[in-house]
Amino acid sequence: MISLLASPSVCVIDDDRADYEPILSALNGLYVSSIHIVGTSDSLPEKPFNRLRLVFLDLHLTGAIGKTSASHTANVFRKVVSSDSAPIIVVIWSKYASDHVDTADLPPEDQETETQLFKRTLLEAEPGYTDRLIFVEMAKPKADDRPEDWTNTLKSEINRSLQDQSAVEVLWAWDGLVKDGCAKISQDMTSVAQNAIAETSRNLKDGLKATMQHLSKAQSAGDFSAATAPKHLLTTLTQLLVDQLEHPTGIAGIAPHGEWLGSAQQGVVPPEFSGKMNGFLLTSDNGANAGLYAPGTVFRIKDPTKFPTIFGKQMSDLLAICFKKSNASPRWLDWQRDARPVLIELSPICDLAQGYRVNSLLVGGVVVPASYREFAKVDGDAFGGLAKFHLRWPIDNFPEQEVILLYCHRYKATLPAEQQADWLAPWFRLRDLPLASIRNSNAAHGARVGYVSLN
Amino acid sequence: MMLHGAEKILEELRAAANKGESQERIKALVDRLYRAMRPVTNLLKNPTPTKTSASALIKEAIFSAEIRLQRHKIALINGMDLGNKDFPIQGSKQMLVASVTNLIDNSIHWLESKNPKQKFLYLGTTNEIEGGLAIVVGDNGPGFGSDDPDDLVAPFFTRRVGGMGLGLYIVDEVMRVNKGRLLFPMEGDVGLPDNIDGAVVALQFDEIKK
Repeated sequence: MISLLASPSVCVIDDDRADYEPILSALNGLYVSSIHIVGTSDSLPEKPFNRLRLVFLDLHLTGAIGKTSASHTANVFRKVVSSDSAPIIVVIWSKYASDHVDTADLPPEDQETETQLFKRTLLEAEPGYTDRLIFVEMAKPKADDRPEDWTNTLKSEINRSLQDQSAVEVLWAWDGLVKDGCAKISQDMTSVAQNAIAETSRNLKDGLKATMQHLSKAQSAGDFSAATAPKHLLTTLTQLLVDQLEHPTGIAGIAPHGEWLGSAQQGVVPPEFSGKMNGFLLTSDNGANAGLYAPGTVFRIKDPTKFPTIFGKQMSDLLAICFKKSNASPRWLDWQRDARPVLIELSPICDLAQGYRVNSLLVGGVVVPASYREFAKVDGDAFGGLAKFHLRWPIDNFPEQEVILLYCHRYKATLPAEQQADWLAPWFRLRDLPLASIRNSNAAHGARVGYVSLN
Repeated sequence: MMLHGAEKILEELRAAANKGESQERIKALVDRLYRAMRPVTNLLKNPTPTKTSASALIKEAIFSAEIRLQRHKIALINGMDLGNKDFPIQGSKQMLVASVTNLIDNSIHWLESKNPKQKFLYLGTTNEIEGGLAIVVGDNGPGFGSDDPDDLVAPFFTRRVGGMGLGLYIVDEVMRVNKGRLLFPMEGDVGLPDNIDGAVVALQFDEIKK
C-alpha cells in the first residue's frame, strides 16, 4: 500500500553527505517533500520515476571525473528520470560544473565544461530527453567557502534558480490544483463516512468503505458486482474531481500568470505546431488497460478480406467514397496507397460504464496524410472530418506524420462488445470532445426526418 | 600519495613566481596544477575503508562505463556472468571503483586507437596469480608492447597523445593504500576469453585476515 505514495516530484541526486544533507534540510524547510538518490548502481529505483518535476543533480557521483563521471551520472539520471516525463527542471548543482574537461587536442578555452559534457553524454545516450529537460545551474560552493547558515542560504538559492520559469510554474500550480481537488474530495468523503458510522461502534475505516460502496452502487445503475464496482467508483471520483477543478476558486493558483498568458505570443512557431497541438488536444494513446472497444478507439484494419463480411462492401469502396475527386484522377492511385481505412468506436460512455452495452458501435473512416486534404470528402450529412493533427503512433508503412481523419456515416457496423474482432487492431484513441462531435453527427445522420404527405 | 606527482608542476610554479614571470604564465601553471590534482582530490572524496566484494566493484564500474561502452560499440565480457569466483575486499569502494573505471577508460582509448573489427572489454576475477585473488581488466587493443611495468606506473609516463600519465600511477597508489597491488600479467598467466589478446591488467588484493 505504501508504494501508492511513491510518486516523488522532487529528487536530489548527490553522493556527498556534506552536500546532500543541507539541501535536503533546505527542501524540508521549504515544506517540499523530496527523495534522495546517492547515485550508486544499487541505490536506483526499479524503474524510472515518471512524475518528477524537479531534480537537483550533482555531476560527480563517483571518484571519477570527465567522461567516466559524465557516463556514470547520465546512467544514473536515465535510471531515475523517465524520458516520458516532462518538462523537468534539472538543477545542475556541482562544485565543478564549470571546470573544463581535459581534451588532448583542444586548448582549455575550447574544451567542454563538465556540465556541457554531461548534457551531451545524456542526450546522446537517451535522445528521448531532447527538449524535455530545462537545465539551470545553482552554485555549490566548495566546503571552505560555505556560509555558516548554508541551509538557509540554500532556500533562497533554490528559489532564485527557479525564477523565470513561468510556464512550468503554471503546470506546477495546476498539478497542485489537482492534488488540492483530490484532497478536498477525500475530506468531503470522510465527512460523509463519519456520518455513516455516527452512533455506531464502527470506525472510520468501516465508514469509508460503506461510503465507497454506496457511491459505487449508485453509479452502477443496477450493474453492481466485484467486477464492475471499481470502475463505477472511479467514474464517480473522476466526475467529482472534474467538478472540483472547474470550481472558480481553482483559478487562484494560476491567476497571477494572467499578464503573460494573455499577451501576444513571442516568436514564431513552426508550421507543424498547430498539427502537434491538435494531436495533443484530439488524440491519445489507447492505454494498456483500455478494455475491448473502448469508446473513441480508432481501429486499423488488419485483415481487409474480413471487411466485406461486415459491410458488404470492399475496403476500396470506403476509400473511394471518401475521395472527393473522380477515380480517374491521377491522385486516386496515390490515395489508395497512402490512405488507411479505419473504424471509430462511438458507443456512449454511459452505456459502457453502466454495463448495458451489448454491441460496439463502429463507423468507417479514413486516416490520410494531411497533404491529401483537398481530395478528402468532408461535406454532406454523411461525411465529416477532424482538423489536421499530428499522429504520434506510426504503424507499418505509415510513419508518424500530420494526418486528417475522415468519417463516413454510411459505413456503420455493430460487433459483439465482449469479443475483439481478430481483423481489427486498436491504433489510437480520440479524446472525449472530438468523439462526442462525431457521435453527435452520427446520431444526426441517423435521425434525419423525412415525411410523405398527400393532398 | 599524489604529492610527488604534483611536485613537478609545483617546482615550475615556484620557479615562475621567483622569476617574476607573467600573470598569464602563473595562471596557466595554477590551472595545470589544479587539473593534475582534480582526479586525486575527487578520488579522495570518500577514502573510508568498507567491506565490499570484487563483484560489487565490477558491477559499479560497468555501470559507470555502460554508456561509454555503448557509444564506442565495445562488447563487454563479464567474467562474473561466466562463473568467475567472487571474493571479499576491504577498502575504499569509491577509490577502487574509480581505479577499475580508470583501467576501462584506458581500454576504451586504446581500443579506439587500434579500432579492431569488434572491440572487446573483459572484466572478471582470477585466482591464477600468485599472491592473492585479483580483478582482471583486459581488451583486444594494442596492448602494452615492450613497456616496462615500472614505467607504466611511473607518474607522467604516458603513450597517450596529450595524456598526463597519471592514471596508472594513481591506480597503483590506490592499490597500495588498499592493501593490494597493480599487476600486468603476461600472456598465459591468466585464463581469458580468446578474444582478449591486448592489454591485461590485474588488481590483486591481500587476503582479508579473519
